[in-house]
Amino acid sequence: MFRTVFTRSSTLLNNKTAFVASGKRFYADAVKSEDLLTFSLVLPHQTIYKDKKAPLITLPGAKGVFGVAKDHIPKIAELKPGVMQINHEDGKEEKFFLSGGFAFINPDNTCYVNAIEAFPIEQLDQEAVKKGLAQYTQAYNDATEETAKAVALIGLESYQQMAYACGVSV
Amino acid sequence: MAGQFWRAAGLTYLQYSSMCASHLRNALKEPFRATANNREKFESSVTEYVNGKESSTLTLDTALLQKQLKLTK
Repeated sequence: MFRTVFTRSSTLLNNKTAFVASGKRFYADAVKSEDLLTFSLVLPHQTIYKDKKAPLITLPGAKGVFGVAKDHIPKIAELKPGVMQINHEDGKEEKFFLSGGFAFINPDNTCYVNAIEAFPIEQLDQEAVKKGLAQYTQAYNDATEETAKAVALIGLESYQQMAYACGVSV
Repeated sequence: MAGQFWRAAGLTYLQYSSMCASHLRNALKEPFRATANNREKFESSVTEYVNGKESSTLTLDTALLQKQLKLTK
């Protein structure tokens, strides 16, 4: 019954091959080590992870948040301030706040994440974030000159993302 | 909030990224904040000589960067 419905709908869509190909994706019961992405998270002054295996990492791209798993299309992406989430092999999630940088996704299932600063989100101070958010919202509203407005907006965007990361209501 | 608004306003990528990094360092809990801010410290100066005489000196340091961050205050 299940199959009949699917066959019919896919025939109706006249897209049977595409359906078969995408139909292979299900929730996995166990992640095999050859299905993992190898990534490195490096800062100018510290190497947080080097050639670490993980099923999925989620990055704050300048054009939107995106996930990287094995067989991701190769690309170089600019990162903006935001949360990077690492889904570890053992099912644990780890979150870092990146200040921005670049991610290089290579054709050989490796990914280099280069950031200026990265800290575990637990190290963010909620009070400081709240204060900074208020300060830069004010600065953005007050600014008239273009450069001043941009500088304030950089601060505002950074603090908005930090507020989101450490659970301060905006 | 368009993409690279800062570039349109005449800022460079290095200025943008160091500002973002500074904001993050300033929003950390102690003692991480102190450690991170110590790492940020730098000082250098650019001196221009004209006919063997010092004509101008520009000091580039953390204080200048912090001032730039607070351009809008």
